[in-house]
Amino acid sequence: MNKRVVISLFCLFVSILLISEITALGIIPARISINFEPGLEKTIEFTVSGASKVTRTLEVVISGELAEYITVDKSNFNLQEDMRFIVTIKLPDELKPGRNTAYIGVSEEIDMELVGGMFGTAIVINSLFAVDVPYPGKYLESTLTAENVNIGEPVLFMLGVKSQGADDVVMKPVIEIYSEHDELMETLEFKEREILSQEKIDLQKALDTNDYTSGRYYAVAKVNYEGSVSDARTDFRIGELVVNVLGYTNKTEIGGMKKFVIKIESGWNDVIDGAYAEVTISNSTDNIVSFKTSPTNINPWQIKSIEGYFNSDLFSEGEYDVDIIVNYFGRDKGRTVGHKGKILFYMPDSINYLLIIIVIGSVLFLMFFLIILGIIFKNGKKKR
Amino acid sequence: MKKSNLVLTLSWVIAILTLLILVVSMNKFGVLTGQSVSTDTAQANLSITSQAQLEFTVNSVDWGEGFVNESTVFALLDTEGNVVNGTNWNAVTQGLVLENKGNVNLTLNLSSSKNATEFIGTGLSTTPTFMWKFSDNESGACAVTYSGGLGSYTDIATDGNVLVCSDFLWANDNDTILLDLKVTIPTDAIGTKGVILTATGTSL
Repeated sequence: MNKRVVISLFCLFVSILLISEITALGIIPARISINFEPGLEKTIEFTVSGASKVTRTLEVVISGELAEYITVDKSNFNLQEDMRFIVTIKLPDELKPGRNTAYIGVSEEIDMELVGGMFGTAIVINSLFAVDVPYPGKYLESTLTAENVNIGEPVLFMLGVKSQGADDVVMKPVIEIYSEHDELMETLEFKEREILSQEKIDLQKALDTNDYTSGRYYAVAKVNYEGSVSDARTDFRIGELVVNVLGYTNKTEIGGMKKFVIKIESGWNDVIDGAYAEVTISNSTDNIVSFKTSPTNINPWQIKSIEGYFNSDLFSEGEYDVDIIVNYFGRDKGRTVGHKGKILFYMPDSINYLLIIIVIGSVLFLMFFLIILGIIFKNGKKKR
Repeated sequence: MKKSNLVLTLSWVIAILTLLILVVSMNKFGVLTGQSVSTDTAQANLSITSQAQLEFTVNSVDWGEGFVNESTVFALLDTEGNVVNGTNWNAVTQGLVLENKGNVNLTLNLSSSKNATEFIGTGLSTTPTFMWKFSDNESGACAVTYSGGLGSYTDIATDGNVLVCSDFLWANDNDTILLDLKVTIPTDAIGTKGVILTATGTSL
């Protein structure tokens, strides 16, 4: 074995082991949005959150198209002293129409002299500062959000409309519901209403899902206003109480107790309680072993692994059938799902080689010992 | 005579006590004093400050101590349980996990201080590789814009931030992303290795 390789890999191990010092960083507020006023002056105080106060100097970073109009009271600071900093904004007399942005953030100051041998992680977090300048005439921007639900529960859509134009507007929004195969399922309509310049309106509409099947959908909001359209899209899921088996242990070494892992996915928008699997491994004629995995709760839409253990010494090399039944509960309803597959058992090579070397070595040593003993005995006889 | 005085006195005491009780009760209900029973409304205002926060909730990868098998030219290690052509290394089955711990959605960028040759070495018998793969640790956490897509390994370059998610959600149960790593190590790799992975979250 190459010693240099061992040493270098040891160093690599150490550096990987030292991965990640600081792991969290936050900033408050996360976003500030204002309407444009020529020559506006404004100060904003930011607070750093989530970081440890034990170490770390943080650097304040300003970027974006408005960066030249922003100054900060300190470019870096130590968290042991203060977790706040203040920015001052002085807007010019004119800005381009639409949204003008800057990013005010904090990042860790990484001392490369200290971390030359480390494998680390670092966080940079940016707050959004936006100034909305009205467009000439009429212009709307819209956003659309929705939550995942289960079959029979209503989907509540939240439609936000902001007038970014200099003129007031009469608008008529609709929301179109599509399946994941782009099939238009239905259209929800809002009443016509006026929105003033620079005003933001939040609207909501519920979708009845009783006639829907579980799956992925998307919604497109179209806000029609005086010959123009502003649109926005959001995806959502309608769930049902089902657990899918995504994968399982399909090969394992023979030798002692072995772990059997099953990867499962929830198709339900609530917590599934007490999911566990009953596993049977068999050959063409008999069931060889049956066992249960430990139970677990699964969060909405979560992919998770459940584990069980079995004695692999009962098997010889070859392929066997595996039968998996997953039991689970949601809102006091119990369900099961079955899955069949194959599992391969094999002998570990390293054990065989080691055993052979030990046996051969022992035999050779014994032979050598007997020869030496024989020579000594023979010499002793001659002398007499 | 004395008996009748006693009765009279007791009567006065009872009468006064009764009167006092009456006055107190009427005052309590606002009848005697003229106090009006009125209704009033109050308003409670609540504003929730927006917070952007990003965290590596799983921040360590430990393959342990091992070496490249002599009969091979490189070993492969990843965070999905694979150790190929290597001996004694632990099979690592958990990659790094990034969580959006604030209350706003973020765009997520990732950068590395080194690529494969800068990290492991140049001029080696085989070209080393250093790769990453992003996937939803919780379903739907990331709206994909990564050029390599979610779920496939790509080489790590050092030419700036890579946009991983255009919309990294903050809602609990849908706010974590998994970052798997894969490295190939040539048998003649030497020296001390170090690299910094930087995650940048920007409020939307």
